[in-house]
Amino acid sequence: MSVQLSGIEAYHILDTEPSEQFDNLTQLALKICKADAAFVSFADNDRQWFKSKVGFDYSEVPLATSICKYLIDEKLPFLNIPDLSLDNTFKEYLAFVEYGVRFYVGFPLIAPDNSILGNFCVVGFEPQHLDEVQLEFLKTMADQTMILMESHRLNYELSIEAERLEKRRIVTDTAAVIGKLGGLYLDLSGNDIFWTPSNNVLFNLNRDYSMTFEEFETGVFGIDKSASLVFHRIREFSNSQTASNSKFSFDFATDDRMIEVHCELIEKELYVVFQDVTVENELREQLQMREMEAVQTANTYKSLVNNSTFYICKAGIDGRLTFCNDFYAAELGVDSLETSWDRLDFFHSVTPAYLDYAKEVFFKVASGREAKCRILLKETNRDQVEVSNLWDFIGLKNSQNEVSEVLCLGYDVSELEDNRVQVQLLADYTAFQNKKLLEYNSIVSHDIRSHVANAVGLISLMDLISDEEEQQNYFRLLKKEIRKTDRTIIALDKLTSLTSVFENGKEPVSLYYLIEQVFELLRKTKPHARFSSVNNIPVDLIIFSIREYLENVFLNVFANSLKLVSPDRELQIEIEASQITNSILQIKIEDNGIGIDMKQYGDELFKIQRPLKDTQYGNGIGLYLVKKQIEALGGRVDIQSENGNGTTINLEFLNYED
Amino acid sequence: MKIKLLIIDDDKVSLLIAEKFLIVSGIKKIVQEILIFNKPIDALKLLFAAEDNDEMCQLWILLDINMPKISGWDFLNRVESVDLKKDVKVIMLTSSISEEDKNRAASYNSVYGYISKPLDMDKCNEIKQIILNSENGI
Repeated sequence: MSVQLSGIEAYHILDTEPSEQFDNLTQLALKICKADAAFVSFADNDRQWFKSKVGFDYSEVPLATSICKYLIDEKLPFLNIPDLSLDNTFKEYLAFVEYGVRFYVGFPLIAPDNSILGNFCVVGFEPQHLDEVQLEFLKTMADQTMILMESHRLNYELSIEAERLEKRRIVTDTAAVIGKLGGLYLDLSGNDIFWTPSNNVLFNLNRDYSMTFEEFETGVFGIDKSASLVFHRIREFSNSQTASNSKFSFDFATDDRMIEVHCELIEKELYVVFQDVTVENELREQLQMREMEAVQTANTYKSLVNNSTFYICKAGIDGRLTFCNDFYAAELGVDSLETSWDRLDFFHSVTPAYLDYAKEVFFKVASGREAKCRILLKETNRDQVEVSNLWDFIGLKNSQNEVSEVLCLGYDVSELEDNRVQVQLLADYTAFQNKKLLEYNSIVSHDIRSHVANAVGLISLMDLISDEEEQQNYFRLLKKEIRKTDRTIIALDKLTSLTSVFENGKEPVSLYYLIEQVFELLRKTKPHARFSSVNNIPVDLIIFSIREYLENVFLNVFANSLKLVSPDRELQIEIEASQITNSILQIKIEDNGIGIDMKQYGDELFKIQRPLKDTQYGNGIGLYLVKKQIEALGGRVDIQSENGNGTTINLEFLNYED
Repeated sequence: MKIKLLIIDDDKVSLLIAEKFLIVSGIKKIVQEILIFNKPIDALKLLFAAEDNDEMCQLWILLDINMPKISGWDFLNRVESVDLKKDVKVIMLTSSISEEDKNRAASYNSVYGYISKPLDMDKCNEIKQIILNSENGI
């Protein structure tokens, strides 16, 4: 509603055309009262406006000097002046002075709020007295005028409202078309129907079509057969329902669209809503597809993240873990009961020897100095086994382009690392052999060749020279050269055997302490290995040998025992040594492991890359090196084993008693 | 100009064979004097001593590689490290059959040939030819 109008404004009557209804009242009053003029007037600011008038032609007069103003101002129930000329007040008024009016009777027009809007008057040019009946009649006329006024006001408001409703209808219909909505209303008891024009758009009907109640009642629709199917179903629903309130929904497919139909029966009224859900359906399908894809992708990533091959974890720039995958938690994590997550950092599993290195590299990435780094770390896993892991640290930046987290990707390279160490040993050994071979080559090419060259030269000279004495001299020299050649070849054999090479590096070694050191080293490097050792070597026994090689020999022999631990008993390694001759020291190493099937493996034991037992025991290079190293030290090795009952290894070294 | 030939080898038999063959091949028609050295140091001494006399002569050296104390390479390095007044030219005479040694020898300015032991008549002629070609400026 707009601004609330008060007084005459609220009636919207000023300056409207003359009305027959009002004129009927004034004409009747003129006759009944035998007056010269009658009128209905309203006060509007400074004018008096006539809605109806009989006996004069003015449409309005100034309000200030009118008798009506007096009537209104004084709030009189009515004003009856039989002769203006005899009245001291009114004989001055323009009505009398200007227009010659002698007689005036007026009744106020009183609004429901008791304000006075104007008046209903009769006037005459001769003095006149009205009787009681005439006055009562005029009062009735004034009341009747007000009824007409109210009616006029209501008419006006209704027309405004109708206009608004029409606008709203247009908006609603348009909105329904745009929003692909339709509607149908049926008052089953009153045989009334309301058809929303937008239905015609939804069902591809003639745009002027509007369903009648008869069509619905009889089921004979004046529309396309396929479209009428939907109304048949609605009819069936409305006919079948006995309950007072019920709902029914179904989907209706036309050639090019999908329409959802919702029916609701309330008492005897049926409300039907149509909604075109073609686009929504398509979108929903697309959404479902996307959702499925998203779920699949998420599953793929999840399986990637929780694979059993890679460690994936994230740490803050302080090193504290913020995320880890299942594999990490299972292999390197700790029990959540023991340690709360917020206290766990990336370095918890790193072995002490690698800790500083790990931190240095990690913080290089965390500080942004390096975008990413790769690092090999030794770590202790949950089973307290030392493993080698290759890690990639990658800095993750936040929206301010600062490194806020470090992504750590790692995988276990223990096996590779073990192999690498063994391959390195073999490579060292091969390089050593290769060096010997080069020396051999140099000796062959120089020493032997120079003797042979001399021999060939001497023989040529013997052909050239005829002097017998000289020839004999050459022959003598020739024999010498051949003997020298022979000696060179013998020397070569010595050179190629490793033994001679090590004479320089030999030193007196206390075997007892050496073995103790090796056991200690073994316990340090393989902290998970459980074994006991018995060292029966005399404390004063000294072997003249190369310390490093001896250490290597025993490390390999003991490591071999550790690979063959019996599940039934803790491993025990017993070692004793005795000087069995003046020159030979025998060392006996016994273990109670599962032993080696000598029939099956005996011949293979000392060959390269012949894995003993299962592959988990490494590649078998250990014993190969033992044999080579012992032979290099001028000794020999012998293995006795009963499958399932331990292994005894006898080592014999050349060791001269003083 | 007078040409002297120095044969340097630690192996006495090798020296004997070389001298005999060269003489039989008629080297004396080109070379006025043959000097035999069992120790490279003696040859070096002679070279540096010869710097002090004004005798105009050309020195050719048959040089072995594998020698104790001073190898053929050491010898060449010493000779090339100083600016000798005397014209010294070298032909390697060695039992080495290594390609590496041959290439290394070629890298020295003063080396004019590479002959592998033992010497025979053909190789003696080759040596004579190297000397003649060099003297004739070929």
